[in-house]
Amino acid sequence: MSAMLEVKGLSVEFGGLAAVNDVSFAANAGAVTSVIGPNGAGKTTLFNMISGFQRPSHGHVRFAGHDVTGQQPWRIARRGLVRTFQKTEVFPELSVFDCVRIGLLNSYQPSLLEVLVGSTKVTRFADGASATVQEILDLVGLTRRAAAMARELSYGEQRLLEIAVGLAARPKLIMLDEPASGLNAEESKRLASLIRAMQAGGIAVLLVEHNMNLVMTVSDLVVVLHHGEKIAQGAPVAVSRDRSVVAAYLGREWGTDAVA
Amino acid sequence: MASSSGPNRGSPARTTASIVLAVVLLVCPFVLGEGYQLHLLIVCAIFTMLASSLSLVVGYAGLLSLGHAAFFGIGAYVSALLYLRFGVSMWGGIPAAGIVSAVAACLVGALVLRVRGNRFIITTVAFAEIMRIIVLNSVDITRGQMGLPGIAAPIVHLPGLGTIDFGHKTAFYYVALAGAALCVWTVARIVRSPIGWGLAALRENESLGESVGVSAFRHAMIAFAVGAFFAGIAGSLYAHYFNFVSPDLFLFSYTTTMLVMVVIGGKTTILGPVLGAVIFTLLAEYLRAFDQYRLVILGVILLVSVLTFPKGLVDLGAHFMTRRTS
Repeated sequence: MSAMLEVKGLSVEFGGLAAVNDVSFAANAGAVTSVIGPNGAGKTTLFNMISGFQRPSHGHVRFAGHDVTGQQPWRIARRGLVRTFQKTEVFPELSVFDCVRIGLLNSYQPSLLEVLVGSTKVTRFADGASATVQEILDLVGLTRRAAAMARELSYGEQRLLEIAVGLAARPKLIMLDEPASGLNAEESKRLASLIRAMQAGGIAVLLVEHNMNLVMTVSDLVVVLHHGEKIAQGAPVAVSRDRSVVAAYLGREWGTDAVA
Repeated sequence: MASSSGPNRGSPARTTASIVLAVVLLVCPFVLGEGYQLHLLIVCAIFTMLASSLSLVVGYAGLLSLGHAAFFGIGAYVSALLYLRFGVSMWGGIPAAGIVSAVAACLVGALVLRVRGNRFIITTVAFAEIMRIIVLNSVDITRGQMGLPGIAAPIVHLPGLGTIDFGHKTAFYYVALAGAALCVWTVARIVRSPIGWGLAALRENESLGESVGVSAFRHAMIAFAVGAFFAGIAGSLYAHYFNFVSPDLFLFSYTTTMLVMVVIGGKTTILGPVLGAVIFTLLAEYLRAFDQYRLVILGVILLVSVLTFPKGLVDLGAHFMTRRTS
């Protein structure tokens, strides 16, 4: 497996305080990579730097063979790196259908001239949109809600909608920021199978998650952050037995005594 | 409804309604004659262009620009100066006004479209005010507050068919009507296209849009430039219709009028701004009978309609339609 995403020595300081310090890791194509760590470990900040929403102070991000460090979010997305947000984001006053359709713009955006002269390329794209949106709604299980306004959805449905918007953007890699938070058991199960479906469809997944159950079942690789630094990396089982990881989550005594 | 695929789009009833409306608009001069009524319709057409073009920016893109009058004024002065200094007729003035206004929007937009919220609003107001002061003080070119009179409309000689004097209201009405129709058609075409999906993304949630490849800046720029293009053309029509331009065209009160039309009519609808422009042009005229109470009455009507129909007056029509069908 080749590295789809390479993060090298990524750091950012907020007012002299290092939020993320010298973090490096790689996420492979077709794999699920999880970033875990206690609250405030710098996971979301790391996500923001990778997706272009936060400019890093040092370090590099390479995606699909291109240096995308510090590029604007939409440019990074156009290369196939798409993210969701920790605090659920939707287009509140649009229908579920219209929300998902916006994701399709990641593959093609017509020029003003093409639109005004009514080029067949634009018509074909717009006409084909409907079927693609349907497919994606089926996949995430929101078909019945297609005509509802995004703001009318339940919290769990909105999380699924946000993933649907991301999938419509045809990503090579999708970054999910705590997708399971606030989901009930049923929805969590749906999410796990959705993540596996993405993987099967050749999409690499980068996951930030607190739900250890989910992390342990879906991940190929786990990266552990603590106080902005990477303290461990490896297969899920190996990481869960790592002393420094246990210490980070439960305190130093546990890390040294309990496991030994 | 902001969605691009309304259920009755292209339906027989709708097609019939469009044809009837087109015929009514085309025969207006023959029914109304060359008088005051036709004058009002021409003013309606000019304000329709301003409101419709502004709805692209304020409604669809969700950017509260309070500088739209600047592009109206730029268009008017471009047309006036081309005519008075270089003898370029209205036929050259109209496209020139649109293009210069659009180029000005691109230059200003490159700066102001990078900021949002209060900072954006303030900078657009400042832009219009700066333009007004520049025009006011370039006395050598613009004659300052005295304005530029004598901007005539063209007279066209058709071999074998006689002449058409666009200084007459009947002929000018068709030019204004064509301008308004082109503007509304263009706005509709854009908002129903994938560019319109991008505008919705910008309006509803900019960060989410950017995270799936929708450049907020690109879409804001398209709305801003196209909006300015038609505001510029409206300015050109104004200049050749009233034969006079002054720095007052850049006044904030023009922007407020356009904004009221857009909001009252329905800011993310195609017909809303048209309706708003027609209603408020006519109201402002007919309320003249009430003299000093005119603005008070206008204000009350405004307040009541905003409170009753927050989505705009077109919502009223949709209301009746659904009630009848259900």
